[in-house]
Amino acid sequence: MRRALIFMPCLLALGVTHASAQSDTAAFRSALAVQQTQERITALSRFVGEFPQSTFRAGAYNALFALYVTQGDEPRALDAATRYLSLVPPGARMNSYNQFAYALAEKNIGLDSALVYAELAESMAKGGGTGTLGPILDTHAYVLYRKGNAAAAEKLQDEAMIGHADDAEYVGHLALYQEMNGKRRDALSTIARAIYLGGDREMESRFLEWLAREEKGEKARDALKQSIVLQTVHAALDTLSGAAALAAKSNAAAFMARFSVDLPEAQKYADAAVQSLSKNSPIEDAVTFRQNLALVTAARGNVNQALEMLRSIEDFASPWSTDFWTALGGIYRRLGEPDKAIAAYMNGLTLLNPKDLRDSLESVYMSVHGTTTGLDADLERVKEAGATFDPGRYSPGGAGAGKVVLAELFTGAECGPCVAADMAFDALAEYFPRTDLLMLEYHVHIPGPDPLTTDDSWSRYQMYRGGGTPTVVIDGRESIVGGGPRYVARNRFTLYRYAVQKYAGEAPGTNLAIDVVRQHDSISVTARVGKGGEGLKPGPCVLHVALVQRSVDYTGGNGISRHAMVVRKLFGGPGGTPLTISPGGQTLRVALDMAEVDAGIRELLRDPKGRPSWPGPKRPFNGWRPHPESVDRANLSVVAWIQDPATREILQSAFQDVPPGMRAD
Amino acid sequence: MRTIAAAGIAVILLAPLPGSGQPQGREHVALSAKLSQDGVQRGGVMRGALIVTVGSGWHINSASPADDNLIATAASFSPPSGLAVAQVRYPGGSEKKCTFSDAPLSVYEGTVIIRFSITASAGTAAGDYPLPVDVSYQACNNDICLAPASLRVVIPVRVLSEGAVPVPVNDELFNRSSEK
Repeated sequence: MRRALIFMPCLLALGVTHASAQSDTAAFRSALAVQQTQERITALSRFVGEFPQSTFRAGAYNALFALYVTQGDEPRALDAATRYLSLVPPGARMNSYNQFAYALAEKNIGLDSALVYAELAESMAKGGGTGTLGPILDTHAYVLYRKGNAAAAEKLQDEAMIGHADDAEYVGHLALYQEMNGKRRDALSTIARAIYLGGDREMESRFLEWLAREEKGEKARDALKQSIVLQTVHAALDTLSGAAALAAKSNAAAFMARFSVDLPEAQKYADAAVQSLSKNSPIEDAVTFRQNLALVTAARGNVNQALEMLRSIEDFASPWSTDFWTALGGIYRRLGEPDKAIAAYMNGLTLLNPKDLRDSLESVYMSVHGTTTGLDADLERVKEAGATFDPGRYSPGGAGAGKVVLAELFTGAECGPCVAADMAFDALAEYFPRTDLLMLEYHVHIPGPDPLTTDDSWSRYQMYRGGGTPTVVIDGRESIVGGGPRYVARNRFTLYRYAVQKYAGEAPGTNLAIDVVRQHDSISVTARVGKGGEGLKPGPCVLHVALVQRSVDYTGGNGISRHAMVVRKLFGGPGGTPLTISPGGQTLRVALDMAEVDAGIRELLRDPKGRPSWPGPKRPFNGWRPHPESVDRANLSVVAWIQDPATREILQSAFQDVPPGMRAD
Repeated sequence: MRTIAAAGIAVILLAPLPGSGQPQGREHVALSAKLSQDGVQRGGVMRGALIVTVGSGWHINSASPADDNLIATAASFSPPSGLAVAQVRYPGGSEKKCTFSDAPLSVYEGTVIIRFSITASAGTAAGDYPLPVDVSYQACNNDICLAPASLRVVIPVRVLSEGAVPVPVNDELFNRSSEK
């Protein structure tokens, strides 16, 4: 089932009336959509002239400021900033002061104004209504540095870094000030740490440039580089143990590879991290560790082997993993395959826009096409491919062992990042037949009230120690947390599919068959458990049975309008029916009355704050969006599963549609 | 570009409310408190600040979120008899455009200060009084949303003896400009 997705611009938040919003909203959005810089400036300037009363004028001046800064046009940039600030209440200017100060300093224009803005922001942060201290002090220090006062900048940066000691950008700024203050050795160590923490290619260039200034001779320079890189690595590793140490070793290996320092040791670190992976390791670790091993392998000259490693995990690398796509694109470039490099770089620019990656893309795109015209249109197509894709069909390649995997999605209709997970879940339903995979969707009030929530759903979420929405739990054993916008749907689908396939080939821990009978408004389920299971795991277990609505139409804040396999009630509550699995098998029967289910839903809708599923007793409730009031009886299924309460492993699952029956009335 | 979005590693300073049920997300938000003086005179007023630190990459809804269905950040004070809390001032949120939505959100990122004042009534006996404060919030980043949660800090408030003069402290938070 393909979900409909509707994004609703939050016009109320922008403080415009509906009647007047249509024209100025459209005009403002259209001006912002103009691609070419000068034409966008013209469009925005025309907008502020044509809509003198529009509340979007502030946004237009803000956008104009950024465009003029890009052009290095100091007078016009400052004029736009002044006009913008005149439209913003004095108490709400702190962020803007900070933003303007940093933008001007970064472009190295209007530094006197930048300093005034930075001081105003700091004054507001320390003495006024808001206190976003670290970033504001960081900006102030950067402006001072740009004005040549590195001593004051370094002193201020020490303060800015309280609570930001592991932020590559803050650490990188400190290195700049140390260098300007003549403390080059300190600066080298500091910038090496910034690079270790994820600093960009510009920092890397700076590190190499300072090294060259510090040591003229090649041998001495190389020795100094090795010493600093290894000191950085040891400082990072010495305080860690266990899983954190393995992740740090993997990161250290990539860092060492970046500077070609002690590659055999880097290989050991990277190998150790990869060897620690097991079937149950988080897929994110599997991707990162193998990616870092590939970087070391490439640095040792085995580029084809490195490419093979990266290709083996390409399907799992998310659009958030810009490091992965940078590495893959770089290797394709080394191998003289620019088209593949472009595709890799574009995948890394789907959601984020790191300058390094964008520069790399533009460079290779230019080398292929002779222009960057068309690059953004191509990028849009790559993004769209992440949202609209054919999941294909599962082909197990032989008779399965009879295991039916259960995938449980915890989602919220107000949850923006749940969009990708919800869409991927639908794709999963298209890919796997019900003989291999059953799916359940539990709604919870995260981040906002969701009328499809039930107390049972919330109990289930808590049982799994829910880590937020969206979370998908596969067979009670593997949890995949996180989603994103629709462009991430294909990636989420790939991860879910991989996890399902891991368990689909296993022998079930028990046999389970159900019969569902409907009499008037009562549904009863007879479950036969245990007998003849090849992978039989005798012992105490729980039979869970869910009443599921196969499709619910409801549009929440995230724009998803149709929800699949929504759990409306658990027969016997979240605790289920305890049983002991035995070779002889047993039969259990559970039942529920639909009138009671509806009554429970109505009660929750009437007073959600009084229910256990309402997280945070003091949390306010401001009403529902239009929603269904009852369960659609023509659209029901039952999903049952046997779960080990100790390990949470699901031993087997079963499914049956609820047959049509007469209503009690 | 440096934006308010950047914040450092958040460290949990305080445990979540017992019984709040949802510990997840606690490592993404930390809470502490500071006062403007080492004590308050009977019948006098002093100022306080709740310092909420939101981890890098995360945001919490501001006190006035753009949508009624989102959970506002809110501080709830439980002053003991003799103390009163007033003039609770929340910072304005910054407008954030998330990758998952066209609509901008009003959020807090980085370090945020919620200001308030404490008054000791004239009849309050000198001594130390605990002032519990619960800050409730709901955190998201670009790929996940966490359950609403609360953090509690108990602020030790000293009511001074007759004639004792309060000493200003934490000047970096309560300097002259904050008198406005």
